[in-house]
Amino acid sequence: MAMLHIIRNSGFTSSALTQCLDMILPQDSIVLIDDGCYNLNHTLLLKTLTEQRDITVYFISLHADARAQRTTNSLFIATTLTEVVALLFKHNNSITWS
Amino acid sequence: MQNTLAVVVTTPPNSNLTTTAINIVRAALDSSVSIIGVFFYQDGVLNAAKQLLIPSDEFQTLTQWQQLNSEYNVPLYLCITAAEKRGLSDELNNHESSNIDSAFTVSGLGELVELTSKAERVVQL
Amino acid sequence: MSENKQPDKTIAIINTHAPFSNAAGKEALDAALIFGSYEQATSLFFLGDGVFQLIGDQNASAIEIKDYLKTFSALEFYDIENIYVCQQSLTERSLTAHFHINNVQVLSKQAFSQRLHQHNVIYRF
Repeated sequence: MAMLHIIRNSGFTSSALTQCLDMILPQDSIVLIDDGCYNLNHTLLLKTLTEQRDITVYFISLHADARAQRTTNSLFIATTLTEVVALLFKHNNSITWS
Repeated sequence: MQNTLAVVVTTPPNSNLTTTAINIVRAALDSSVSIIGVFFYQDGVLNAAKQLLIPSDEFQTLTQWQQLNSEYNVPLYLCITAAEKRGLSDELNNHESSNIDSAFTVSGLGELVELTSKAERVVQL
Repeated sequence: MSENKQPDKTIAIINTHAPFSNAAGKEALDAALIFGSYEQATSLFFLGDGVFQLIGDQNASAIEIKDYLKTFSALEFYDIENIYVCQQSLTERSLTAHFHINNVQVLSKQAFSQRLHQHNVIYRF
């Protein structure tokens, strides 16, 4: 069952990111929302994505822009909250890491 | 058939995380997803505090919830046990003396069980 | 229960916080017991600092906390029999599998994650 992982915290202060990456399985997706956008350049996340190509990572561009967070990495997909609602129904279940 | 979603809110009204929760509810309604209920638990119960005073030039969380309730019929369920621990009470049970906003339905964790079992998807925010 | 109820939904409640400095553990347990009392198929997961909720020889009353950990022993009466702990979280904290309740299954990180994935709804505390 593919799971949607919603990350709302910075991995630099919270264990949300590491716990998410510990629990993630191939076919799962991650969406970075709120302070989760600070993880766009987190080495741990980048390392996982390079190793596990099956995982899709989205980020809310509105939330990243508001925080002056940018990425040029094509592994990240910019998205909206409307798309997150659609993602909830495209996955079997979801977990919120915050 | 219309998709159904239940939302669990655990963040307080003065947090931008709650603004995100409200925007997700709005995004769902715009996508014709039926929100069968928003359940307020943990610090989320503070969203029902009607005497909360947020400066008028800041985001008015309570007004947003009221609007979602009155204009879109989104049910707002408050876990009263969690609420009482945070200073909210419906004990006198009239709108004048209660410090819980009337847009919120006083309920308990049993309502969370109902929402969880009825909704196609649940999201915790 | 309404006719909309979807059959056989499974609920996972995952604990990620240590027991005493915030209310998350207590509020997770309250939720678990209610789901159990409504005969919902509910499993408990302990990850990260959440494993501190289960270790033996704690003395909550010494720091003025009503010992809700004792209530964990009631889980079996609510038919909550699936209690999973992440081995990696124990190892990282130099903990052994010495718990204050029986019936705890210690799983490898991979097995723990796979078990979590099998649930329809996941609430994280």
